[in-house]
Amino acid sequence: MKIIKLIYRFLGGIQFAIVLIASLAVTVVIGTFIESKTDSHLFAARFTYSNPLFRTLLFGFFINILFATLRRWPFKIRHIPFIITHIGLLMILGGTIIKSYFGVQGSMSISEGSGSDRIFLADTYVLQAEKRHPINQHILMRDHYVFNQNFFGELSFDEENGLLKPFPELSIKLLESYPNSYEKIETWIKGSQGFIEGFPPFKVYEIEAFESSEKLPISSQIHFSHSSNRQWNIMAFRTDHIKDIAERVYLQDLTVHIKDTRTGKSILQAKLNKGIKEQLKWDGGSAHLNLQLDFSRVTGLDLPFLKVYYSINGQKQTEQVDIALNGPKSLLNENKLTSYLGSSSFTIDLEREPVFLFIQDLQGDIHFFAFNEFGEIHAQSFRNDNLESYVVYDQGYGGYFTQVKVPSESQSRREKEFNVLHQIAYKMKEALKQDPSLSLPLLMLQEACQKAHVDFVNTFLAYLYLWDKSHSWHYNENLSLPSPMLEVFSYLDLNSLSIEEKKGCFWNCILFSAIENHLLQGKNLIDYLKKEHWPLIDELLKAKDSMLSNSEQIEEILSTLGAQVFSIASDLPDIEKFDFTNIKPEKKALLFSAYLRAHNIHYRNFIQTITPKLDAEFIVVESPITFIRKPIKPLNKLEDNLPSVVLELRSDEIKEKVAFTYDKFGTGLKLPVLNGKYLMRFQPRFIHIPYRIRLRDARQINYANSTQPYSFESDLLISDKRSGTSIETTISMNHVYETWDGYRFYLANISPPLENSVQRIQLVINYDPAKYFLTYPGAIILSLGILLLFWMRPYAKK
Amino acid sequence: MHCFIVFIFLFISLPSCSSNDSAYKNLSIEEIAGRNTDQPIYRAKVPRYWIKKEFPKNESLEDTMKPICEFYIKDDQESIRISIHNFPSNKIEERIPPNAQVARWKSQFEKLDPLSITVIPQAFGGFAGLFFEGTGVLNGQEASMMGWSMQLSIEHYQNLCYAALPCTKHDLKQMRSDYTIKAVGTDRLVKKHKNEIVAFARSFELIHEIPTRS
Repeated sequence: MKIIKLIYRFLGGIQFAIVLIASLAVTVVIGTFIESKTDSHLFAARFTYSNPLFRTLLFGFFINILFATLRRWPFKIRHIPFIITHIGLLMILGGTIIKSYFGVQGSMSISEGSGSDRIFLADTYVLQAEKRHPINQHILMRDHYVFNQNFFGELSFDEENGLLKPFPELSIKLLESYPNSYEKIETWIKGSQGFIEGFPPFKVYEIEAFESSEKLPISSQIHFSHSSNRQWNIMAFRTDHIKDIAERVYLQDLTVHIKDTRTGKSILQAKLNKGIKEQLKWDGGSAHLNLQLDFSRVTGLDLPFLKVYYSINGQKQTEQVDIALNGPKSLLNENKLTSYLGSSSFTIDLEREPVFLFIQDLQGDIHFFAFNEFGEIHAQSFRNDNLESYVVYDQGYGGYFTQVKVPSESQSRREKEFNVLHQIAYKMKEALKQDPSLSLPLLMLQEACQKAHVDFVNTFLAYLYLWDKSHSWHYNENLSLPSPMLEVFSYLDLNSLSIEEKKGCFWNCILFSAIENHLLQGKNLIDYLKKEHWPLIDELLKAKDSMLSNSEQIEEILSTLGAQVFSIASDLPDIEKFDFTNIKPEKKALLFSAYLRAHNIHYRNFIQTITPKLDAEFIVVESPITFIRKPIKPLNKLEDNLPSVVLELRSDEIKEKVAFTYDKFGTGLKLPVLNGKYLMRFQPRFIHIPYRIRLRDARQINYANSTQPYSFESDLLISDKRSGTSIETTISMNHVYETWDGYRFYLANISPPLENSVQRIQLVINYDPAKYFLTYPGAIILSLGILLLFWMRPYAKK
Repeated sequence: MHCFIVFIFLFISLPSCSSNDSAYKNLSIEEIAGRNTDQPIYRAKVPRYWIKKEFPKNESLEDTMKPICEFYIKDDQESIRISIHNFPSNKIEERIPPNAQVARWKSQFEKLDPLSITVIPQAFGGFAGLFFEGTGVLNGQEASMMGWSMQLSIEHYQNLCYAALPCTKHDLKQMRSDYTIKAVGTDRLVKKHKNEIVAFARSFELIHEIPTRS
C-alpha cells in the first residue's frame, strides 16, 4: 500500500514532471540538431517525433497531469481553475495521442477533369500486386504486401502475410534490400548487345578513338516480310561522337547519280563522299556537294539537307539545288538560284543500302537513325530518363516496349514527283466535277485532247511537268514531246487566239529567249532592259521586292514583263507571215506556254499547294523496356533515398527473382512478373479516404500587369462518399478546406503553373480524428482554466 | 470580469468567420447532350437569364457544323449568341488542333482589328487549348467574338478510349471529343457580359469524371 502511495505521489509529482519536461527538451534539441545537420526532417523524426520513445513521453505527461489532478481529491471550489486547466491539458494530450495512432497525413495527385479518393502515405513501403480475375478478365484483383522498417531504416517482410492475402498461391521472400539505389531504363541497347523484338541480338561496337578512314562494321542484317521485301543492315555503336558516326555511316557506300534534267540521261555516278571532299566533274560542268547533318542531343536531328552547287560550262550563272533528306518534301530537288526557269539543269538521286543505326552515348541514351535506299533519313532519340512514349501490351501484363516507325514503301524522287502530280490531278478532276468552267488556254488544250482522244487533266499536268523540266521560262522547243502529247499539240489550234494574243505569245518567246541567255551569263536583268531601252522599265522596278530572294525577284520581274508584252501587243510588229498552224508541235508547245504564262499558269503555282503524301504504311520495330538497378551509398537526407528490394516470387511451378526500386509517388510502371501473371510495383501505401475529390480547375493568379505569381488556386468538388453530398470549394496556398470530421486539404503544388496543358495538383491531406472533440475543446478549456486561475475571487489580490 | 468574458467570446468567434466559397446563387447547372444522343455529356453553370435553345430531338446533329447547344443573352434589341460545338474523333491523330480553329474564326471576319486580337492558352476541366478574342466586321456588321477551342490531354483521351464507364461507345466517343465555345455579339454587349461568358466557359466540363489509371 505504501509503495502504491509512493508511486501515486511520484506519478503526480513535480519531480516526474521535471523529468518529462527535461526529456522532451532534450528530444526536441536532438531533433533540431539532426535536422539542421542532415537537412532531413525524416531523419530527425525517426530519432525523435516518430520514435516510440516520444509516444512514451506523451503518455508520461498524460499520467503525470492526470495523477496531479487526482491528488487534489477531495475537490473544493478553489480547485476549479486548476482542474479545468488540467482537464484542458489532458484533452489536448489525449487528442495528440489519438492522432499519433489514428491520424493520417498523406498526399493526393489529381489532374484537371479527374478525381481521386486515394492518398499515399509517404515513407511507407508496400509491394502492390495485381492480377486479373481467372474467370472475368475485366475484374482486377489487387492488394499489397507491407514492408516493415526498423529504427535503422532496414526493410523486412513478413512472409506469413502472403497466406492472408487474395493471392495465397503467391509466395514472396525478401532476399536483399538496399536503403538507396539508382535505377535506369534500358531500351534498344542492353550491355554489349542490341535488341529488336523478334530478331536475334546484335553486337554493339565501342568507338572511343575516331578513325575517319576505317569502314564501320555492320552488326547484323534483318529482313522484313513486306511487299518491298527489302533487307536492312543493322549497325550499333557506343560512342559520344554521335553526329560524326551518323554522318560516316550515312556517307558510307552512298552513291550519287547526276542526270540531265531535260533528257533524263545519266551523266555521272560517284560516291557522295567524293563530291563533298572534291568536285565531281563531267564534260558539261561540275558539282560540289555539302551535307548538312546537324544533330544535337537535346533537339535531335535538325532538317538534314544536301546542298549541291553546279557550275555549267559556257554559263556564268551557277545553280544551287537543296535536297531535303527527311520530311514530306524529301529528295525533291529544289532549285534555289534559277527557280524562275523551273527545275535546275541537273537532277540528283541518291542510292545506298538501307541501314538501321543505333548509337548509345555515354549517358546511356539511344539515338536511332534509319537511312533508306534513296538516302532519306529518319531519326529518333530515346532518352532513358525521359522516354517520350512507349507501348504497353495487354495493359502491362505483356510488357512495355519502345517503338520506332519507319515508312515501309520508300519512294524515290521521281515517284514523289509523280505522287504530287497524282494529287494535283485528283484535285483538278474533283474541281471540274463541281465546276467544269476552264480558262481560255485550258479550254483550248481540252479541245485538242478531245480530238486526240486522251485524258485532258493527265495530259495537261504531264505537259506542265515536262515544261518545268525543260529549265526554261517558256517550254524549250528543242525538247522533244512524248508521242501522246505530240498528237495533242498537233491538234492544238493557236489560230483561235486573237491577233493581240498571237503577237503577245510570239514576241514573248523571242524576248525571253534573249533574256534567258543574258541571265545565264550572270547579267543583271534590269540593267539589260535599261540598255535595250525597254519603255516600261519603271513598272518593273516597282515589281522588285527587297523581301524576296534574288531568284524570286527575277521571277516577279519576268512575270510583269510578260504581262507588259501582252498589254502592248497591238503596238508590236506584225507577225502576219508567221504560220500558227503548220509549225512543229514543239513550237506550238513553246507558244502555248507563253499563253499559259499570261494566265499565270505554270507548274510551280500548282505544286505550291500540294505536299507529297507520306507513306501510310510503316515498318514498326520494337525493343522491350528493361530496368537496371544499382545499390548506392545512402544519403543523409533520407527523403532523397530510393530503397530497392530483391524478391523471390513463386507461384505454381514458376519461380522468379525480381528487383524493385521504390516508386515514391506510385505512378510509375508496374512490372509484369511470373510470365505476366501479376503486375507489381514497390511503392508507398495508398489508403482510401471517405471523400472523393474532383479537380475542376487549377490556376496561377498573377500580380496585376505582371507574370509574378501572387497565388495558386484550385476549384474542387468534394463529395462525401458516406452521405452522398457534394460541396464546391476553392482552395489556395493560404486557404485550406476542412471537413466536419477532421479532414484538411492543403494545396501543395500545381504543375505546370501556366495553362499550356492540362494541369495537375498535389494535395496534402491531414486527418486528425480527435481534433473537434478533444484537441480544440481542450485548448478552449485550457484557456478558460488559465484565465480563471488569475481571475477567480479566491485568488484575487485583496 | 464582464469585459473579459466578452473578450473571450470575441476571441472564440472571430476565427470562425470565413469567406463564403459559394458565389453562384444566380446560376443554374445546365446539362448538355452530345451529338445524336439523349445522354447529357457536358454540364456548365449558366446565368438564369440566359436563353437556352433546344434542338428538336429528331434533328440529326451528325454534321459538326451544327452546334450541340446554343445560348442567347438578350439585351434590348441586341443579343449575344453562344454556340457550343463538339468534334468527335476515332483516333487522336484525327483531332483538329486548336490553332486551326482559331485561324478559322479569324478568317470568318471580313475585317479584323489586329489590335483587338488575343490568343492565349487555356486549361480547365481536363481540356487544354486556346482562347481567342477579336473585334471586327462579321457578316457586314461590327461584332466581337470570344472563342474557346479545347481538347483533352493525350492521357485523358486514351483513358476514355478504354474507360469502364456506364456509357455506350457512342457516348464515350462524345466524351473524347474536342469542343468549341463561341460567343458573338456587338462589341458593347460582349464587353458588358464578358465576365459571365468567361465564367460560363470555364465551368464547362464533362459530367463524368475522367478516369485515370492507378
